[in-house]
Parts: sequence; C-alpha cells; structure tokens
Amino acid sequence: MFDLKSLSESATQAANTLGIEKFDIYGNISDDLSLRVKAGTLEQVSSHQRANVLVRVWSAKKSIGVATTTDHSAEGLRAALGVAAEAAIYGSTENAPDFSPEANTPCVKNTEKSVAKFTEFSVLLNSLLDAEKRVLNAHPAIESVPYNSLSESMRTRFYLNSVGAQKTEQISTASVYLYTKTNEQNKKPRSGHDAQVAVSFPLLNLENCVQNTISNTLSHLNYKKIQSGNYLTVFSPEALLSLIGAFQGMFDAQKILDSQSLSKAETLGSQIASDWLTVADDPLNLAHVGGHSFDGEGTPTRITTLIENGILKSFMHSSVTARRMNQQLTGHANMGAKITLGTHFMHVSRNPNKKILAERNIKDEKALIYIEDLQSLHAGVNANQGSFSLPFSGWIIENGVKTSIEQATVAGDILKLLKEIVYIDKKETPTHSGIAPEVWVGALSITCEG
Amino acid sequence: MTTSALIMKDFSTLAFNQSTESFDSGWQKPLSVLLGLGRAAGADFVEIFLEKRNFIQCLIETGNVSAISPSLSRGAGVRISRGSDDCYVSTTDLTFKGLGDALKRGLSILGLQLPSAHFFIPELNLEPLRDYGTLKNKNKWLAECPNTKQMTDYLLSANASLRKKVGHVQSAMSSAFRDHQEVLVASTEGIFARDVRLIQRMNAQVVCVDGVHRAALGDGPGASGNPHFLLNFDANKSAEELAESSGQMLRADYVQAGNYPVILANHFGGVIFHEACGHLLETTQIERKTTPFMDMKGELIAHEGLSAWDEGLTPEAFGSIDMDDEGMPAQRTLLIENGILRNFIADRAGAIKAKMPRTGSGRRQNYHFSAASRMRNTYIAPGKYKKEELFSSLDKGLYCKKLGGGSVGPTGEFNFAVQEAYLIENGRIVKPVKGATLIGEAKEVMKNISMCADDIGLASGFCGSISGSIYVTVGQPHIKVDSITVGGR
Repeated sequence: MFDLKSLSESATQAANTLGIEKFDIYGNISDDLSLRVKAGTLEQVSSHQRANVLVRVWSAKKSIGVATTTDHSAEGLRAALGVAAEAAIYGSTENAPDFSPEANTPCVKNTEKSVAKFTEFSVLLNSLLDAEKRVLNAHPAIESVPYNSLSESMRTRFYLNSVGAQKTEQISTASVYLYTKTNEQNKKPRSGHDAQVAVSFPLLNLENCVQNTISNTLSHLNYKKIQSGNYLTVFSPEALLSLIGAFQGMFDAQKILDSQSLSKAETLGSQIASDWLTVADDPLNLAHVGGHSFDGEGTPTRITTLIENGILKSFMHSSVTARRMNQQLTGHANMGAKITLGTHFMHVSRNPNKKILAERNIKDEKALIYIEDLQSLHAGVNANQGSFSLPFSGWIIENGVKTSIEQATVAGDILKLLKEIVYIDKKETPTHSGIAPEVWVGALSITCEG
Repeated sequence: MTTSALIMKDFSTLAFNQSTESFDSGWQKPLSVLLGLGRAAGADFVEIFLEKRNFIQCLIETGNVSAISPSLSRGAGVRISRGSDDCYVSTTDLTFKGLGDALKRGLSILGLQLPSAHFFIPELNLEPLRDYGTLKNKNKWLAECPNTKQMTDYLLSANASLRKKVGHVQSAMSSAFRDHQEVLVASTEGIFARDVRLIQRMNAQVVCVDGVHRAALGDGPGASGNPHFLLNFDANKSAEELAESSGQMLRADYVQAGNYPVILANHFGGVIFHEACGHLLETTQIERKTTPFMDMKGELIAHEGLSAWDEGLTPEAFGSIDMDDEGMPAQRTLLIENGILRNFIADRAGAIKAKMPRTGSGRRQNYHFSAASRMRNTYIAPGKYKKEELFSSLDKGLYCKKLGGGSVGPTGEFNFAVQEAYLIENGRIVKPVKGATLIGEAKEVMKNISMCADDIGLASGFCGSISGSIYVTVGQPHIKVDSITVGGR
C-alpha cells in the first residue's frame, strides 16, 4: 500500500543526511494486467508492478539536478537524491526551475477516476476470447485478430516537495483493442480496428469494440486505387486529434522559448487558423479517462483555450515558461531534467457564432476523401518544419458511395491546413484522446500507391 | 543418488544474501529454488530475467546545458509457460521474497497451485554462471566511460561547432546518452548467464529558418561496447555534413507525388529493408499470420541479386549483443541468399510455435517485457555494382540520401519518411526536394530492388515493437528500386 507520508519522511531523512536543503519528487507507481489471445487461446498474460520516481535537487547556487529511479524504498530515494545532487553541480542556473507557485494549491477531485481492485483474470480472459470469436464469426473474410489486448491498470501519482507540498491521486483504467486481418482470394489483406477505454472493466464497452471492429473491417473489404491528386478532405475526430497532437509544439511555450516551435511569443493573438476552429485542452473533462488533476510540478490542471475562433489564445506552460513569459500557469508540465509540456485531452469545436448558410453533408459531395485514421505519425511528421506526409486508412466518397482506398498518403503543411478548414460539423464525438467533430479541409494532396 | 531436502513448508523460512549490486554466482541458489518451485507447481517452463540499468543523458541547446538526466533502474521479469499458455510478471523488488511473490502471482494467473506443505521443491540444476561480463572483460566499461563533466564539455564543443558551421540556425541541439545495462537470465532449461551491455549515442538536431523557408534535420550515430566512442566521435565532421544537408534542404521544393525509380543511400537507407522485410521475418509475424513470407522458406522472395543478414556479432554495432535476453549466444543469421528466403528471426517461444530454428534473437527493452523475436544488426549485403552505375542507369528518378523512420502494418504495407532527397535526371542529381514518403508492399518492393552497389554502410537506430524499443543497426549499400510510390505534394 502506497504511503505518501512515509515516503516523504524517508526522502526528508535522506536529504538531511546528504546535506540537501531543497528537493521535490514526482512519481508514478502502477500495477497493471493485460492479456492477448490468439485463435481461441490465451497468447500471453502479463502483470507488471512499475515505479518511476523522479527527484529534483537544488544546489546552493540554485542550479538543479535531476535523477530518476524505479526504487522508491528509503535506500532507492537516498541513491537518487545523491545522484541528482551530483548532477546539480553541472546544471545551469540560467532559467532554472523553482517550485511551482501552485504546488500547494488544492486540486479539483474527480471521484470517478478510480476503482479499488482488479477483475478476476478468468473473467477478462473469457471476455476477450468471446470478443475475438464474435469478430471472427462475423464474416468469412476475417481471418484473424492478430493484434488484440484487454488490460486493467491502477496507478498512484504523487508530488511532494521539501517545503511540505504533498499531492496524490489514484487512477484506474481498463482498455481493449481489436485489430483484424482479412484474407480473400485475389484480394489484398485488409484490416479494421477499434479501441475502447473506461475507468474500470465493468464500464468498458466491449460490445461497441466488437461491433465497431466488425463494421470497420467490412467497410474496407471492397477497395480501389484512386488517382493521386488534390481532394476535398474530411478528417475523422480521431484523425484530426492525432494530427493536431503531432503538431502541439505550436502551443508549447518551452519550445517557443527554445526556438523549436512553429509559433513565436508574438504569434499570440494572431489568426493562425480558419475562424471555424476552436481548440481547448480540457484535462478534467468527464470523458477523459485517466485524467490528471495536477501536473508533474504539482500545479493543478485546468481548461486552457489554445485557439479560439482561429485566433491563438494561449500557450501551454510550466512554472518556468509562465514565469519567463509572464503568463498564467496552465498545468502542462511533465517533470524531467528538462521540463517538457504536453496536452492532456483536447477538445476541438466549431465557432458557435460562425454564420452558416447551410450544414454540409458528406453524402452530397461529388467526391471527397474521408481520413479515418492517420498512421506512422512518428515518421511522417516534421514538427519543426510544419510538414507532414502520412499514410492513412479511409474512403473515397463519391456522390454518397463509400469505397475504401487501397493504400494512400496525405501530405501538407499544418499551418496551411488550419487556415484551409472549410467546414466543421456540429456533432462532436468523444474519443480516448479528446473530443472533436469531423473537420473539412480544402484541397489536400493525396497519393495512392501504384 | 542425490535428493533435495527442500520441502514446501520450509520455503517461507528461506533466506539468501545475494548481492543487489552485481548479478554474480551468488544468485544461483535462490534462482534454482524459485525455478524449482515453478516446476513443482506444474509449469512447463520458467524463466527469470534480472536487470540493472545506469543511464545518463546530457542535453545542450544553443550553447547551454539544458538537462542532465541520470536514471537508475532495476527489476525482474518472470515468464511462466504451461502448454500454450504464457504468463509474464514483472516487479521492481529483487529480494528473494519479491521474486517469489512475482512467481506465485504468475502461477496463480495460470491456475497453477503451489505444492502442498510436505511436497518436494526440486531445485533446478543450472549451468555454472556463463558470465560474458567477465569473459569479455566488460565489467570495467562503466568506469571507463566519460564522466558527466567530460560529456557536457564535449557536447558544448560539439554544439559550438554545429552553430558555427550550419547556416540560418534557429536552434541547435546536441545531446548524448550512455546506457549501461547488466542482465542475468536463469531458466528451467538450465540457462544461467550474465551479460553487461553498453550503448552510447550522440545526437545533433538543427532547425534552420530563412524567411518562409524551414528545414529541420538531424544526425544520430551510436555504438555498443566502446566506452571511448563518445569522446572519439568526430563532431566537427558530423556538423559539416549537417551543414551541407541543411543548406540543400532549406529552400528545397516539395517533391511531386508519383511513382519513381529510386536510389536509396547506404547507412540509414537500410531502414527500408528493416521495415519492408525484416519485421516480416520475425517469427512473431508467423505466429500471427501477418507475414506474406510465412510459407516461403526456400523460395524466391526478392530479386536474385539480393542477399541479407541479421546478426548480433559486428563489433561496436548498435544492435550487437553477446547473448540475447533469453541467454542464447548471438548468432549470424542468413535471411535471404540471392533472393531466396533462408531463415526467420526466432526467439525461444517463436522457434517452438513457428517451428523454426532459434537464432539468438530474443530481445526486450527492459524487464517489463518478455523477450520476442527481434532484429539486431540487419542489412542487405554488398552487391557487384559501383554506386555510379546505379545513377547512370536512371533517366529520371529520386535519390533518397537520408531516411527518417517508418513502419509496417499487419497487411505488409510499409511506409517511411525521407529526410533528404534529390531529383535525378539523366544519371545526375539536379535539385533537392523535401516532404517525400515512400510507400509500398513488402512482397512487391523486394522484387524491385534490382541493383546493389558495393559500398555497404551501417547506421544505428531504435526499433519499437511487441517487446518495446530496442537498439538496432540498419544497413545496406546504395540500392536501386525500380519503382516505388512516393507520397508528396
């Protein structure tokens, strides 16, 4: 059983012994269990205890040293504090972090974020075997579900510092994904997938996962090559969120200060996107499973509007960047030797005041590309350059007729894309990474294989 | 005849004083007992993997030390198999009790019962410690690596060189890491082996801006096993190469989408083979039926001029290992010989399930993962042509000088990003182009590699897959692909 008070006492005692006056500690301790099945049998079950504890130590000259350890025993903390104190000798004093001014500020509690115990293994196994079976039985073309997983995780996050701040929260999640492969004579293998996340296994919508995987797979069985060229393109909520997520450096105050962002400090307040678009980061949204109520520096998280009606409204901040840019804290810090920033749960919406002559419908368009899922973002996004060239799965929709595209890439420039949004649907869909509607973009370059 | 005196009721009273500072032969007794307990409970196979890691990364940004990140970690993974059921449990508790609890948890998940109080726990007879740390004189490596001050001083100098040589620099980042890993593997097959590994990597990234033109490029050479790699690395030369590349790419036009014949450069160009073929030769893919090559051993799967290897033996290569993470000595595995598929890449479980020979390829990121069939140093062998002959064979095409990362999906479709590319006309480079992605299908592209030059070069990289992110080498000579789809504008 995790005991923050006892951990704090061990750390204080070790710090005193080592002559360390100022330190803080952020940690993440988890237990998880996941399983995979294959053709009606258990493929592997794994169970992990993980601990990742990060300590920061300030030297007398106010430089900072950081060390991480997996050992949160008194002995492990002492070793980590010692290594961090040594690293502090070489740390820079320029723009060195301090404790967050809000490290002691209470956080908004969300009581629905955690459950106390794991589901019985046999229940999980039978559920996943049943899900696999139903997907395989849904259509003769579905040959296997080569990638699948059902998992449960319980995590304890904590933050403490040498002047008495102590924060902790328990988070539990359950997740499932199914990824099919088809095999039909004289046709290429196709695949479809779905994933669901919930606070606990009983709340996990396995039925939706099964049905969505089947329908998604079947929608890709009939496919064709399309002519490469520029097309009106609609991004699904998932695809849009993953693309904006890949370019979140444009909202990252640390990257801006390091000249590694597409934005500059003076970009704030300027029109960077079509006036259709509003983007907020909403960590405490009820749809966000596993959300954090405080960041790595102990700062409470909150809603931050990043783009409002196309205008860049705010950056993401740590305590250092907020201080340097004289702006408000936003609770986006990931603790590390160099603090990085990251979004929690994006909420994309359309400008409610936008004058719309008529709502648009995909079925009414002569031809458009619907991007369901972007792939290989780690390779195809050049975040510093603003360019992307990404494989995707999706359909060409011609006069309401939907046909899967054999294999294709979409390429463009994120800043140009944001300005070329021509329509945003009013319906918003929650996904595991955020909430978004379908977003329509004017001509984007699509290349089809062959 | 010898008999074990240990019976179950005495198990909870056992105490051992094995060292947590070093994985030495003092671990033999406690691990023998735990493996014996697993077998006594009915497991067919039990493996215990212990790991200790000492990692440090230094980051310099535009002349300043931005971060020094040491990290200490240790933990263990216990794998238990019974029939086709497979369970993996990890823990950060390396005490005898902690390992015992992890083992019991795994046994319980698989529905296996601990023996009753008066039943024997027959200890496993493990081989004498096969210690590559001592055998290959690797125990001194950590002490011989540069200390934090040497690392930061070196990187500050490298960063200054970068800022001096590269034009239009908006930001320049230099970083390096040192990853020292000690592992011990013991299994019910009698394996008892220890290894020490050392990986170091240098990384340089620049963002160049001139008006509306932007270019972001990087370089990341690395090595295994050589404590002096970092301080001996020629950062000036690397900066000069980045300067030349960024100068070319800053104002480059976007590539026009379409099908092109393509020349892929040596070194990191080998990522095409890694993604388009290497992953599909892992036995994991046979087990899941996600490789088009599963029934094609002995058949022609690539152009007749192409041979390819996967091995763990090249000195100082990023993917070299003396033993894999299941305790098997690394092997040199011929994957393709003159276009014919000769071997797959197999770990222990993969070898059993896919009925392929084991190749010493059971690898994992750390103790959180069970080992799986993974690549090591994987490359296309040198061919008979000169690089110039590849260029002169093209009227119009694309030269991909530096590639970024890529991936392959369950249907065998691959993609990877091109960091630096040039248009070729009449056998000569005419202009730089950017924004290209190469896409295709493994089965088709392998037959389209029609010419291999004689200038093989290797490069270090990271590979993410089922058992986490591991260090690998990719490589090839310059090769010509007759036709490939290029995604662009």
